[in-house]
Amino acid sequence: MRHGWFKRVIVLAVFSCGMVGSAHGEAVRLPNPFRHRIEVPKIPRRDASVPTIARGAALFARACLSCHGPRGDGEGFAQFPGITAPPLNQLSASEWSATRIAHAIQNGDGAMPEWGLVLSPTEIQSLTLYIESLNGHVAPIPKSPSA
Amino acid sequence: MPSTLLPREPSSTMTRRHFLVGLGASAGLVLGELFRYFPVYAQSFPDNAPITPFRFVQLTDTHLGYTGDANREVSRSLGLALKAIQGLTPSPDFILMTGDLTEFTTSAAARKARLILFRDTLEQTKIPLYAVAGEHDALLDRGKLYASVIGDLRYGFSHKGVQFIGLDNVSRGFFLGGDQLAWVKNQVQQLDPARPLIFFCHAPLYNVFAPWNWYTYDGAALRQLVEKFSNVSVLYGHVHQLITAYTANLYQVAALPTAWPLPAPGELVKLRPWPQGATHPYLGLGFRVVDVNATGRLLISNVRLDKEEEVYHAARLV
Ligand code: HEC
Repeated sequence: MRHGWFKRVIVLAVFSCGMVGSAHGEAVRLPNPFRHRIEVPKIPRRDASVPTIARGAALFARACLSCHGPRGDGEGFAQFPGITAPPLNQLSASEWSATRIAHAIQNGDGAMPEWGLVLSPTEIQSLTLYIESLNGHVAPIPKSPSA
Repeated sequence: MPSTLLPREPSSTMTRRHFLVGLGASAGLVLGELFRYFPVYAQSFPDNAPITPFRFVQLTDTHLGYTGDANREVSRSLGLALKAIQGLTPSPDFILMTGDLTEFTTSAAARKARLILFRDTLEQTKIPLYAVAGEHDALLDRGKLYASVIGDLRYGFSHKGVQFIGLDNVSRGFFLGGDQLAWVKNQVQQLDPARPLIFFCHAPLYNVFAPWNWYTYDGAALRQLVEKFSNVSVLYGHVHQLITAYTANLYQVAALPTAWPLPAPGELVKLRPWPQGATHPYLGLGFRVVDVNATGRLLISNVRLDKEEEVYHAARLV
């Protein structure tokens, strides 16, 4: 409390220095490390015709989780009596090749919709990659070369 | 110049289009008589043909064949609804059924028996029926049995100056598909965009709640096809409750079911009905009466089965 006035003077002094400094522009030079301009190399975007796991995941969240569950484990939110959509995270790599998964999505079967009527081949490929990633058939995140 | 505000003047010279349109309409009248109980494919009207006011009923989600505690007697609630419908004055010109006539079953024989039961029950009312399938009726066999017992999965018809198109957004999945969209495009090209157009289908044409399959994956594509139309309504079922939304130029409304009510959408939980209440067994159940007036606007009244005499939603003009 007693030194309250003193603190206020200091704060004021520091503040006005800053004002003066910036008013002079050229006079206040930033120390060296802050003057580097960092050039970010452009990351090439994959074009939409290339299937990706990320696109597969987004499509899955929109069109598949209702029946197969948000984790793809068959715990869906909407089911029919007597039929449950199977888990998609327990497909053995030997039985479920990418082609067979894509075929199942494309043509459907019974309560599994015939998605080929509304999804493009690239979208089906993306979903296939995503389902493979749920089963560890493909790595979900590309490994860096050093790892 | 405010020419758009003036009514369109009937042209004095008979153009090729008017001739064809007139021909189509007269053919339509003849066909209409011939196929009174069958859907007639969409046809054009002369620009100035008036709309004759009429009434129809929307019935939805009857789930015949269901056994369980969500509704301990589905045929009884359907019977109550049909009795109320038959007692309406003025009486409806037809019943529009928006899907899930029957409860899902893996047995083809049981599905067929349920579809026949629905057809026979409705035939007893002597009121013409226009129906579309729900996923319970049609998903498992891609609508084969439904088509053989009830009729086409998608079709158009016109009634007293109003155009109707029944859509299938369930039998192959919750979408219309490119082939059906092309068919709709072809149908609407022959229709007058100034006239009212009513779509009827099972699932909503917009995303009510995709985690419960309460949507149509490619519904937005259909909305684009009818951009030029000034008065488009979509009557649907599936959600077992009253939901109303305007999506661009489309007015989309769900009707009360006769089977059981379902919770409001929004929570990421499993979709399950409640057990039927012992004290209020028909709460949340009903049907809809639609009155089309001479300007083509719809006056919608939702009738509750538990309080038949009371119109649930204040009747509203669309
Ligand atoms: C309406 C519910 C429903 C929706 C929505 C759905 N599925 Fe299915 N799915 C099923 C059912 C039921 C089966 C089992 C089909 C059978 O009996 O052969 C299945 C099977 C599958 C299979 C084969 C796996 C197996 O063990 O048989 C794959 C792969 C699959 N679905 C992927 C998808 C993808 C990807 C989507 C989203 C684009 C999707 N499903 C959306 C119900 C659904």
